[in-house]
Amino acid sequence: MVKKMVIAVISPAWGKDGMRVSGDVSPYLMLAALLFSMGLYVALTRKNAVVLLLAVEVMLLSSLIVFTALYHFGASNLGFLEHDFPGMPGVGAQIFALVILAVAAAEIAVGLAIVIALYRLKPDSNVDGFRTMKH
Amino acid sequence: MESIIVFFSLAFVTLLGLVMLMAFSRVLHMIFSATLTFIGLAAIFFVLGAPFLGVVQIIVYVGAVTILAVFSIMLTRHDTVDPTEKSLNLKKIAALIPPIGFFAVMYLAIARTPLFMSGSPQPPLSGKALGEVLFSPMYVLSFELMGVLLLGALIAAVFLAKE
Repeated sequence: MVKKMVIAVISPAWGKDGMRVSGDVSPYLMLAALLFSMGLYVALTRKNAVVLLLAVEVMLLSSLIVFTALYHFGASNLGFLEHDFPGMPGVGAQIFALVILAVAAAEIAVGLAIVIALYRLKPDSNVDGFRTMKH
Repeated sequence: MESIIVFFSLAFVTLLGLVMLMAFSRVLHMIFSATLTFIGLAAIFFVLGAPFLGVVQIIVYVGAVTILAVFSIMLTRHDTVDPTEKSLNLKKIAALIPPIGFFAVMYLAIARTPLFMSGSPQPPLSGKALGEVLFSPMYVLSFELMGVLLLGALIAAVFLAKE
């Protein structure tokens, strides 16, 4: 009973006939959407620059769950990334995820350098204190 | 049944990190709770057949990004407390609207799209296989661009942070 209710929430389209969770992508997609939403909430409410950057990182990383879940459950069935490597269907999803990871790492490195440079201009890590580009 | 238990425990750990991030008020505590989220994400990558991605996630995020964030807190202000008010005010309630709206739209979209895969799940992709694909002519350009981007970010970070 409880299991059926849980399945009905995390994959509503197939909850009716029960137990097909083993091949089901949608719980992972729901988790990614939830992570993105919570990261967005943190990014909107917090004021410290470092915490803002971390929240944006969480939002970026939630997209990696989508890529890896679509790889794991057979992205080739979806016609997702059609130019597959021979013998390894859906491997393009992992390449994309790796590229996103590198871009996110580059972003947070530059972002934290900017935080330190701004602190030197004005000793404050609260983003509301920086309203103009010039000080 | 096992996949449900694994999914829920990993989702619990990952979301617990974010809930702790929302609950804490000291910035250092927030950074370490974000680390918990990163560890949970790495475990999800392992479960989803991307062990190389999981290892890179642990090295880059749990290792480097956390230390970098802690360093930038230590270099700026020692015991920073986030100035966000604890009480529920209009601003916080208004900030709830975009995330809840986004999640509602995504929930409906995911729930109405038939995404069930009939085939068996793919086997984990080893680092060797991923490397061979990454250096094949199909993806080698994206690899090179990734390298150039990381070099540019390195130079930019050093330039911005130096005196």
